Amino acid sequence: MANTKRYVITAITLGLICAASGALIGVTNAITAKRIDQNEKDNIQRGFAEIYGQNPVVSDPKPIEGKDYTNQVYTVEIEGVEGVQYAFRADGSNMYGKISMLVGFDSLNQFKGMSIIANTQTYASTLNQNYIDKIKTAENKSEKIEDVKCGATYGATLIRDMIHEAQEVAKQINPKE
Amino acid sequence: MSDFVTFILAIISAMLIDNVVLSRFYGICPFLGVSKKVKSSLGMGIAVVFVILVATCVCWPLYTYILEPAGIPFMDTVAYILVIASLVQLVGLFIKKYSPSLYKSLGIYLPLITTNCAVLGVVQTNTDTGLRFIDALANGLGTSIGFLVIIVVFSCIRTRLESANTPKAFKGLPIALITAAIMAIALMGLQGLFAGI
Amino acid sequence: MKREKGQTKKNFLKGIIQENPLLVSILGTCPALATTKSLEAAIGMGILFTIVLLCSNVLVSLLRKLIPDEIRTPAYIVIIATFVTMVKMFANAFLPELYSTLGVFISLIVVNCIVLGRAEAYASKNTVFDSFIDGLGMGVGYTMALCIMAFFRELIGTGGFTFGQIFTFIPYTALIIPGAENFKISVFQNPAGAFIVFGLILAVMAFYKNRKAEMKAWEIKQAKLKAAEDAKKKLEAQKANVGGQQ
Repeated sequence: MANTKRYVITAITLGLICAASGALIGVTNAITAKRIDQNEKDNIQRGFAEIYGQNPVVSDPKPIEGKDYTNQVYTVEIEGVEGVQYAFRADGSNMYGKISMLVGFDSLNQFKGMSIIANTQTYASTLNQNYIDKIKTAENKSEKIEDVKCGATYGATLIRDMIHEAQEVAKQINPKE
Repeated sequence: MSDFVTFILAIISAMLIDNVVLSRFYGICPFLGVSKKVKSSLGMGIAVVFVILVATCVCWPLYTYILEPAGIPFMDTVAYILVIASLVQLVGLFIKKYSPSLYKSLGIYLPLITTNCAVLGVVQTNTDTGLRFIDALANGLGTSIGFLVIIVVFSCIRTRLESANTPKAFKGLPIALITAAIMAIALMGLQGLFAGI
Repeated sequence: MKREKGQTKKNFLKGIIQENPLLVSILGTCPALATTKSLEAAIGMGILFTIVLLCSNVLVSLLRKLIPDEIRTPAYIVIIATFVTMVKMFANAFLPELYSTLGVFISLIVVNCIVLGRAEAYASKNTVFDSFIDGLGMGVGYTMALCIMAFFRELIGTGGFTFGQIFTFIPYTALIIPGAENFKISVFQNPAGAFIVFGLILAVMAFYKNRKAEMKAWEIKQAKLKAAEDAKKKLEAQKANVGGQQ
């Protein structure tokens, strides 16, 4: 009988510690969640500034359904530039991790630029150096997108596919002939 | 490319190109602590392979089907470490009952695995990076086999180093660390192995 | 119980020098190698680590009479994991750059042998105040060891130091030694460099330890020789004395 009592006390203590731990973490989450969301929003705003060169006016995102990667569309307006431009949020993953990015197009559906929001790929630094940075600095960006041989080919292929899909969606939303 | 080929490629890249110990720095403590003898390093390596595989199979569904739908993904680290600690105990009991001889050779390494970062590191990155289950499994398998291979090779070198004529200040750990550095440089040469695919 | 004078100071200093967790006990090596690419990251890691160690030491010491012996280790692990998760969330909210630089290594503080080791070996047997001081000493000692490694790795690998990339509230400053970019050895920024630097630091420590031991041995030997000589002289003097009397 003494044994049973001991087991019960042990189990209760462990349960209490776990409950207390859950409560503490829950409280911390409540405190920090708002701030983390705000950080993410700032990050996205920074991404738009990176693509369009200056701080653009960005609408709230609208969801897109039924696509592999592209899941949100933003409309972007820039002072002094005519026409509405579209940008897309795309999330994709392969066996090395996740990539989240913004893909921007100008009003004629030409590829304008991209900004990586999150890159958890194992070879993130190789991918950055040999693929993403080259696209960002290139004159002819569309050509560089196709050149995926960079030492992190899977990540680069994923990014290429994401951009291609966003391009198709842009053409559907904003038909220009 | 078929899933099978990507599975194999993921194993190889987690095992050699992006080795756990030498380029991701998980599990350095057992790597330095248990590598004095080939036999003990083999035992530790096999125990790690086993625990990582089981932990991956338990923790990935735990996160995807319980923690995430319940809205408490932030409890992941606490849940994982509890799972790993109890798993190590369970595995120990199981082996003790069904194969006492195996327990004799592996048993002493099991408690050490709870505090081996390789296990928690793999499980945590699997869900942090949002891998699919098959990729998570490939990552776990590749990582743990990579650990096994490196720790066995390293222990072979260390037994030779014991009798080598090294400067007195370098005896023991310092020369072992320098050896590890040379091994890491050798593995750096494999980067970009799959660039052409 | 009466406290000896200076015990607190001794308790604090032992974590920094005699029992430095990284350089003497060789514990917690994973983050030491992985997060010492830059001095700033090392300082960040050290601070997060110290916070976790302090909190877990204090709580374990508070609960040391309540936790039954059978579940000591699981209970400690849950306590540590709780604090690590909290620290992780605060880092994500207030220092997002630090969070993304350290990545999974913040979570890996849970399995850092030092935290669990201090909880088991010290906090579970000592008072709250002593455990707090012990945690502070160990944390500061670990941070200093990380900084030493990061200092050499960043200096040799990049030719200088940059600040303000992780702690964004500091203005961005790059202190690069002029002309150093031609002589930097970038392998020190790679994993291999971490092993080399750690190995060399341990070798230097072993060298000084050996020399100290040798000096001590030499001193003892000298003292012994001197004593032997003295005894011989004494003996001779005695003999001479005896001879003179005869």
